[in-house]
Amino acid sequence: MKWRLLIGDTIALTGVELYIVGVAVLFFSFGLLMIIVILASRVIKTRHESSVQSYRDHFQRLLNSIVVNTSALEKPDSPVSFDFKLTELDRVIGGSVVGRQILISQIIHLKRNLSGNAAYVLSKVFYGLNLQAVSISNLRSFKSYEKKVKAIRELAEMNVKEAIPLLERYLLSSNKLLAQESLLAISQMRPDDSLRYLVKTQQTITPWIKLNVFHYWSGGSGQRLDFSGLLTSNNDTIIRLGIDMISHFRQTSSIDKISSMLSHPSETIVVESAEVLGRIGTDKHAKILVSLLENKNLAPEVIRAALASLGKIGQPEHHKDVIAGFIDHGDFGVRFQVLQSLKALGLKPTNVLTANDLEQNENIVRHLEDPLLQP
Amino acid sequence: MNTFIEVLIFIVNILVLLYAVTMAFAYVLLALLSIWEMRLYKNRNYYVDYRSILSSPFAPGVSLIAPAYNEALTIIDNVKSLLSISYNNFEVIIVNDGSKDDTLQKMIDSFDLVVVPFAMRNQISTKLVRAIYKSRNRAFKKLTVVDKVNGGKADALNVGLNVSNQELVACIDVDCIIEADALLKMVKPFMEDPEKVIASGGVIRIANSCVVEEGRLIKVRLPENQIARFQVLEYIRAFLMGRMAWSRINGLMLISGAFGMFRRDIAISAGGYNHNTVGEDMELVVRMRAMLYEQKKRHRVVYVPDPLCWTEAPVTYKVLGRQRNRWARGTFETLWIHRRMFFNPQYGVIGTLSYPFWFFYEWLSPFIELFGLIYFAVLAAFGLANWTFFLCLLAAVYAFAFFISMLALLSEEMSFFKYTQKRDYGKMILTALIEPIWFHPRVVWWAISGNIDLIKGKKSWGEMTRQGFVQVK
Repeated sequence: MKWRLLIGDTIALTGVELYIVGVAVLFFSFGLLMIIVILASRVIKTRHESSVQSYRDHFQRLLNSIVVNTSALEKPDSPVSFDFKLTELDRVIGGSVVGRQILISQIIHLKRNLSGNAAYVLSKVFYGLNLQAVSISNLRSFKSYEKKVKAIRELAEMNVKEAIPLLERYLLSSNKLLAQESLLAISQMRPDDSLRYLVKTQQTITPWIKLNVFHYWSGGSGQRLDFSGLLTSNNDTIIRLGIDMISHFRQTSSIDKISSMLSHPSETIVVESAEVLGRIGTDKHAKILVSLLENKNLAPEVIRAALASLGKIGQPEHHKDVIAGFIDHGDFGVRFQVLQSLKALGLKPTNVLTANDLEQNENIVRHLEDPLLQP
Repeated sequence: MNTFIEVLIFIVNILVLLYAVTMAFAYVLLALLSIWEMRLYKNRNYYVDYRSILSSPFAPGVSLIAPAYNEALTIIDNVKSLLSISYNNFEVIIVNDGSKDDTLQKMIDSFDLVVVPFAMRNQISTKLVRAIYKSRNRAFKKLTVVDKVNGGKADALNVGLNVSNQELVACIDVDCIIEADALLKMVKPFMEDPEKVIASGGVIRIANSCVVEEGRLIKVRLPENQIARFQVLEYIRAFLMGRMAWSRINGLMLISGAFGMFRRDIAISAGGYNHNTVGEDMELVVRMRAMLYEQKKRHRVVYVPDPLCWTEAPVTYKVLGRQRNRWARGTFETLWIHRRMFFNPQYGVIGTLSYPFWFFYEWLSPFIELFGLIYFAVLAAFGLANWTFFLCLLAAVYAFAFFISMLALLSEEMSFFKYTQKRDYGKMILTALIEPIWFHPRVVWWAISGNIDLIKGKKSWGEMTRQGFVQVK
């Protein structure tokens, strides 16, 4: 750069220097701007917080009086006080979108910690103020997927069944989170009917989904549902969900279908099936496990699961040799399981194993004998 | 000759400028990506009820592994704090790494420990394990204490990996304060994507001057000590502005050793922690990722931005210098061990972006800064220095440092805003203004001296002395 700029009479800057100074000024200005933004944010947050707090306090007072009064009177449909309070809530909200959203969150959080009549009254407040329309409108709008996820959760928590047809549309969404949340929401709202959706879904059923649907089914539906239908799915994660649920809800009528899963190509499914046989199987299934163990190419995980189950449902006189046959296996876990299974069958290792085997696995024997190391 | 020197100076100037511009660009990009990702994270987890994990039989088992070396002063409170964490299916493994004080005896006395014949799988070779203890008191059933010959933090963690029998392991510094719901938040990514997620890391925050009661942090306060305040700013920049963005593009190379969670099977198959580096936390993550890239397995290392772990920062330059010296050595050792990844597309985002970023803008930057100063001094000595240009560049660098710090504070304000006092932000702004001229040159020097020590063959950690938290009883 040939041209020079004079600042006052003393400092001369070349083009590059001027450019660098410009950048410095820009960064510094942005830095200062951020200070203003932070301070403004502080002021806004403080005001917002106080406004939110004021809403919350109002809502909490009104919700408390609604819940307590109606619960105490045992007349949840008592029109006089309920409608009056509802009108009061509506008046406090006014036209405020923020107020409505705060009330939704507050009702959801309260409802999570309440049950019975109190929870029912809170639902009535929700519907009475037509708050479901806010969530449905958020779900229908072109908002970001996170906002939609939030709306789905609100609808699920408040059991807004009218939203189910809308949620069904998201089951096949390419957005995994939307698909997952809509599946969970439907399962929560219609636990008895959720298997129909699960069978159809191509989603991977993650442990997170499993944990949540199990939670919904634990309310009572789990005992009524027939999970064996899930075992015919071409989605391995659905099969695994089925196996887990059959085990947890002890659906012994499905146990034969579980034992047929021992020939499944997925190693994980075989392991989980073998474990379930140990939990809810019978002597008949012990024979199936023995046949499984005859396969010499089994992975250590499968052997461990089969041995563990055999220890639970096997017969000492019939199965001790099958179990003890794995004592020289190369995998530590398998050897550990051999001794654990023998113990579970009520056998002493000294009566089953050779002196050499005992010597080789002395550390495991001692481990299993120590009461402080037992699960 | 003069023309040659002029051309040389011109080339060096251009290279330095290019370096500064690309670095600034990379940092701004990472910062914006982090802020965006943070917003998404908060929205995604708005209604998540973590209690469902707490009560579920499907929650994965977690082993908390905490190495302890000469921690007699605080070990009992620390262990109690770990045992009271909100999670069902977990165990606490304390590995006494040959402490010279009475760390072990205190644990034996307080928790009624006795030696048990624990059958340990030696999947990773370690120094000799002298004994394994369990408590006779059923209240401490989840506790296992391992006593071993001193072998360093990596060795102690490897013993923990051998003893653990759970699906996930959380490796932590025993003196850290873990938030009660930390495990719940850390396991969630593993549950959402169990095939791909191999590790998760959380934000580490500075606990100096915070109020602690019974091993729980009850009040967040900005440190009184200015050195600790500098580190607060650094940590916010590093955790909220860097790692969040790397997590977004699946390029995380570091999960902090203070609190990180791993899939045990992957950590073991990668060979566990490396004894030969002082940056064992970063090295393990890079090695696990390298292994999976070589096996062509898709995987993710995720980052949880919630403040989950609080640690006490060094409050003297001497102790801080030792820590930074070690970090510098650890960084270079890791980069050197895995040099095959450098710009190697076989290693995906790590090879093409993260590794080069760490090399150029983390490891190399102190040298570039020092070089810049020496270069300018030489030019000045020969009367060739362009003082105006130098001052302009200095102003630009200073302004950029200030800008990035402010962006970090804004990010903090928009996300978790833990420092709620108005005067705290005043102090932090002041800290950001003085940090580039008062604190940063020291950080540069510690990094360089770390590299010099590495060349000299230094392998030690350097003693870390702590003051302890503000306790409320």
